[in-house]
Amino acid sequence: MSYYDPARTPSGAPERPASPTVAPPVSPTVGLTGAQAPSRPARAESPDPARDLVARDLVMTYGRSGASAGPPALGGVDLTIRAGESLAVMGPSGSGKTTLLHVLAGILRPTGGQVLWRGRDIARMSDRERTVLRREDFGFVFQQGMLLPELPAIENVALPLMLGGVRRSEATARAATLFHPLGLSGLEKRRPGELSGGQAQRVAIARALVARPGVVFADEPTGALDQSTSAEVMHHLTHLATHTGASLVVVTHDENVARWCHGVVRVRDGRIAGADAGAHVAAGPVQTATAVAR
Amino acid sequence: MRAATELWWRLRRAGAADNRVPGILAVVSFAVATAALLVCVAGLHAFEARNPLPPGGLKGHLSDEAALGNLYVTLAWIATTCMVIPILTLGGVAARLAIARRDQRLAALRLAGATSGQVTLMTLAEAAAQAVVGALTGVVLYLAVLPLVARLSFQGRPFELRELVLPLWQTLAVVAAVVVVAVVSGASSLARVAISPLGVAARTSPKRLSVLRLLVALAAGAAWVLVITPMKEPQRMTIVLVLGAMILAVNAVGPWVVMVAGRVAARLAPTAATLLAARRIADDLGTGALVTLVIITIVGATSTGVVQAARVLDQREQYRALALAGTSERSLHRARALEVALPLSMTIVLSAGFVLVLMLPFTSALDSGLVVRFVVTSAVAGAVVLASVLASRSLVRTASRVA
Repeated sequence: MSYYDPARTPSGAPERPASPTVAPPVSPTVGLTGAQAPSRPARAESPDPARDLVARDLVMTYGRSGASAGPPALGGVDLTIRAGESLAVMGPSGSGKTTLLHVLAGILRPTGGQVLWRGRDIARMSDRERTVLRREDFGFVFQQGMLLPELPAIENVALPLMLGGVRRSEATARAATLFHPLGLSGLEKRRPGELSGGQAQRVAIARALVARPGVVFADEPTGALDQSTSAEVMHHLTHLATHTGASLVVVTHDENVARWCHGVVRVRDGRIAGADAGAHVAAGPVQTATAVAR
Repeated sequence: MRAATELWWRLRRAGAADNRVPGILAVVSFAVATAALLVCVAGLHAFEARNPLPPGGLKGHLSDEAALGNLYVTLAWIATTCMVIPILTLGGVAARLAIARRDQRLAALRLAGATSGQVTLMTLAEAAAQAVVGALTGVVLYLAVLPLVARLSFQGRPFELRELVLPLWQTLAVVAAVVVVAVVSGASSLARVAISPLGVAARTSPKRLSVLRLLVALAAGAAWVLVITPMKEPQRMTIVLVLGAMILAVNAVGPWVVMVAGRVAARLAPTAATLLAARRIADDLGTGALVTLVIITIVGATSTGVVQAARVLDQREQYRALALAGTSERSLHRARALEVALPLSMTIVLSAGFVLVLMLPFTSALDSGLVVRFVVTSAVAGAVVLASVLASRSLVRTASRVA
């Protein structure tokens, strides 16, 4: 019962890489010359409302509404993340990219708009429902792994299962299957404090995937790592997500990280300012937000 | 439910080594609170045993000696009532400590899919466990100090140990009460914060205290003097009730006075250290309220020390940021000392007035030396409180270490 089962890889993946639906891919092989640049992952699937994560006209305003409220953190974002696709969300500090991730993941409730997941609007769910969603359908990898320092790695990975009521023995057995594919064999009993930064992030990836989520959300997952460790972590994150069939949303400011994803959207001032296939990052947005996103 | 309790137990066992400091602080708080409460109740118990009610009860005619004995019991009730609120406050502090420094951990649990209910259950289980350990330690502490208490001489003779030892059920009742206080005040602390996957945030901004509280306190003080003084043989329960109301009123006013003082000081602040302290007082009334209440007791010193240590642990990021911004360690120490000293001096004035009003109905017990003794005691208590702040200096040093 391994989570890392090549047979589970969605079949029939064509050579042509897919991209977020907001952007048609443009010459996907250009620009992948860096040492760590992966060969662009390939995937293309038709839209499937039952399996896609769809955001419609998301608006998010912090603080009280009214005259005193600042500019919205999100000013009407439309976005579709297709099942099994990986998407990098890029943008300058304060652009709203992290807010977008939090809203998509049901951590924050948007001021307006919808987030549709498996036919339900996350934005309308109760706190409890969203919690269950985080536990069962979503996985998270944040910059600081958000691991509990008290627990050994294996139990940190098993945590979402245990919180969902799975017995500890079964939860840890399921968690253990993820250690080998992530290159973590032998580290099961280590506490987070006894792991390197890259190892800790790989444990976080294991935890994000243990409940077989539909979407994994990663916020600057390599923000605290050096370049080579960063590439290693992104390799594991994208490959394992692919093999478990999970979609992946990665917020990052690092072009090298974005290259691991099928596609890239750029956020500026709370709006999608453009989208591309990742290869053309230096050329800027290929299309405007409204044109692409609607 | 099962998942949360099992996980809490795992975290507790595994985390014993990692979370030692806040855990020990909380247990010490509960131990001191329990011991203080037990000593008070034991004193009350001894006075009651020594001065049994005459057959006719309080209504009947009392000999002078019986009347005096009765006054002692009444005073013991007053003392115990006075002690209850500081002890409850300390219990609350300890419960907050069980939550403190766990922000990151609670957020991580929520992110991994723990419901609010599960996080609450785990936190309250932690507070209850610390309260049980602390309260049982407190019983040992109480038994240890009994020989010292027995050396106090009242009504011309010292206590006997036999008089001071509480029946088992009363001891257990005090332990149970401390645990209940811990859980209730932990729950109320949790109700005031929202634990989201992104962190722990205050649910509401600090409540503004109004002049109304001052009026309530003045009314309660007047009621005390007007109701109790004319009574020939005051009903003990009336005294306890009015006194309880009055202590609550002072509790309510104290923070307000301290807050106003903090605002004024902030406006006049000549140095960065004063400004820092004054702003914190104005923002967070917790320390002020605490200092107001527990000033003249050892409970006060303990809780201030514990709170300061907890704040340093809690705000270590802030300390590091201040240090990074070029705030010298000396300024940090000064800010912390001022933060306590400002409310402390206000409190001594407030407490002096409170105690004098309290004593008015019992003019026979009032002698000229009392005020002097009170002032000296207050000064000593103040010094002890400040010393307890200094005790956490090394924590500041660690917290503000930039590297």
